[in-house]
Amino acid sequence: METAKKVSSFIFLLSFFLLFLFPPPIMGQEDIQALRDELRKTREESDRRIRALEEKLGKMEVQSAQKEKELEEKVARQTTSWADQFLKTQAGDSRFVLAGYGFGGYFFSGKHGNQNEKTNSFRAGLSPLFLYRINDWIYFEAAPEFELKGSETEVGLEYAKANVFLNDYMTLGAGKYLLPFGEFIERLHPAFINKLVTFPLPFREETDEGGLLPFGQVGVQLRGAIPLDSPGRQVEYTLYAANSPSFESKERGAILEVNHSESKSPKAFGARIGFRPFPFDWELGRLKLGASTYNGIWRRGRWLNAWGLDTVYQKDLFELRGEYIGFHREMSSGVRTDNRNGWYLQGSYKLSEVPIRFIDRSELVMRFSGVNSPRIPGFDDAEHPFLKRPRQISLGWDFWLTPSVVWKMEYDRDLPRGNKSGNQFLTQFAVGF
Amino acid sequence: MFEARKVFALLLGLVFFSFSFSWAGEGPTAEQQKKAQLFLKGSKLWPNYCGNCHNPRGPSDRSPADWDLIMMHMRSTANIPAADAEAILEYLKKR
Ligand code: HEC
Repeated sequence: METAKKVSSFIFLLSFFLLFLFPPPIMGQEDIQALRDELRKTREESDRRIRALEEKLGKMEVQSAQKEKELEEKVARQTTSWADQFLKTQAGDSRFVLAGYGFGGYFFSGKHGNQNEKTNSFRAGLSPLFLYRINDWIYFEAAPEFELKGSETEVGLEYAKANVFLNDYMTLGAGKYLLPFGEFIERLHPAFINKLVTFPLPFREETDEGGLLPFGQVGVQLRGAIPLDSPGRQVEYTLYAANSPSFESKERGAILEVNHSESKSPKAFGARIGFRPFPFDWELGRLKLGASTYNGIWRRGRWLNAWGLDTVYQKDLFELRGEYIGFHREMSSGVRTDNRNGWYLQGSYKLSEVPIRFIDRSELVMRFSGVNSPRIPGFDDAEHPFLKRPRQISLGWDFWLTPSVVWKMEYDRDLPRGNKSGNQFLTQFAVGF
Repeated sequence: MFEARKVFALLLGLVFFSFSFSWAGEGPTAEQQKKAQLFLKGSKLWPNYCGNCHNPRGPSDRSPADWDLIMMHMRSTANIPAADAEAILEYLKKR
């Protein structure tokens, strides 16, 4: 007993002494760093091994899955009826979807120039969209449109196009389509997408309201996208050929019309190239740039050349868009070129983060747009304040019931240019379905 | 401290390894694995593409069969790269 105690106290003392003589190393900053590096290395190593293992496993599984599939097919071939077989080859998995949009709205306008009457009117429209797919690389889209203006109902065909996905980079389209010039006409004008009731001045569909380009074209197009190095960085393109442009008259400023009837070969062509310079994980937001052209012979060797730029920047709940159109129409010798241009800039902000019921479904919109074009012959400037050099500022408040059902309110003010200045208030209910 | 880290790293490695083996055991088929990866990719791409022109439309907006066709329409209208459209479709169909 005694000796044991002695021995243990001796060992205790000895170890104490030893500890004193050779203290354990206190880790310095470099040591910790070295350890961290070592740890990272081990982790990387094990990760690499796991990945290699997984790859091997994946390959094996693919092989067995292929075998299984082959077997299944073999069995299926022996057991399916001739009717199944027939349907499989003939019909494929064709499907039909009805989509589209509708809207109804009211607008009230104040005095315009020397118009003393205040006007108000109701407008409604329905634009169903029929989608039909034949197989997974061919589908059709057709969108008739019905619009009620005052007491008249207009029926039209917005577009009707057959699409063939040729490969990952090329899609062929033919029929009547929306002009792929900029983004507004092809992608933003439907009432459940457009954040304001009205269209920007240079993109009015009615070219007698200041619009510079026709919406519809008949012809063919080739389009697609080419992804670049990282997700989000990409180039998109649309090339098209269409019927030649036609104007209401030979005069400067004459209205451009949609040309459906021409039977000769297409005499207009154009392109839009879009570019996303930054990847999706760029923390500053998403940016897209686009450039478009539209060129055609409008009359005996005289060209109409239009070019445009468009851009959109989006960051969370904020969006800023802008588009520009330059328009140059060659005239007979001795007459000045018919030059026009137009632009808009639109900013919007969704109030989703405001923690107040109803307000959190709102979006505020502000747009500034303008057009410069020669005086249209035979029109009374004062009666048609939109026709010459209009500038308009529009303020909007949107209330989104669902992502595609919206109630919009808009106040427009024509900025004084010359002696006219007008106000209008519009409201619209739009449903995308 | 230094020992603890090593032990921790070792444990972590072990956990990873056992994971990979348990996968191998009950493992999903290659097809399922590919779909899961597509789904993941699609869920990340969806908000970036589908909110570009209109408000984003979510998986529950349409039936899986409808999405097949609508994604064809959107792929062509919005010029979405084929592989990205495929991934988004996978995401939208799994609601
Ligand atoms: C380049 C602009 C653009 C992008 C990007 C876009 N859409 Fe659309 N989307 C449209 C337009 C334009 C319409 C309206 C088509 C019509 O009714 O004529 C539409 C309509 C829809 C509709 C209504 C049904 C239909 O086919 O009309 C759904 C659903 C939809 N989009 C989903 C999506 C999804 C999902 C994505 C993401 C892959 C997406 N959109 C990306 C422009 C776009």
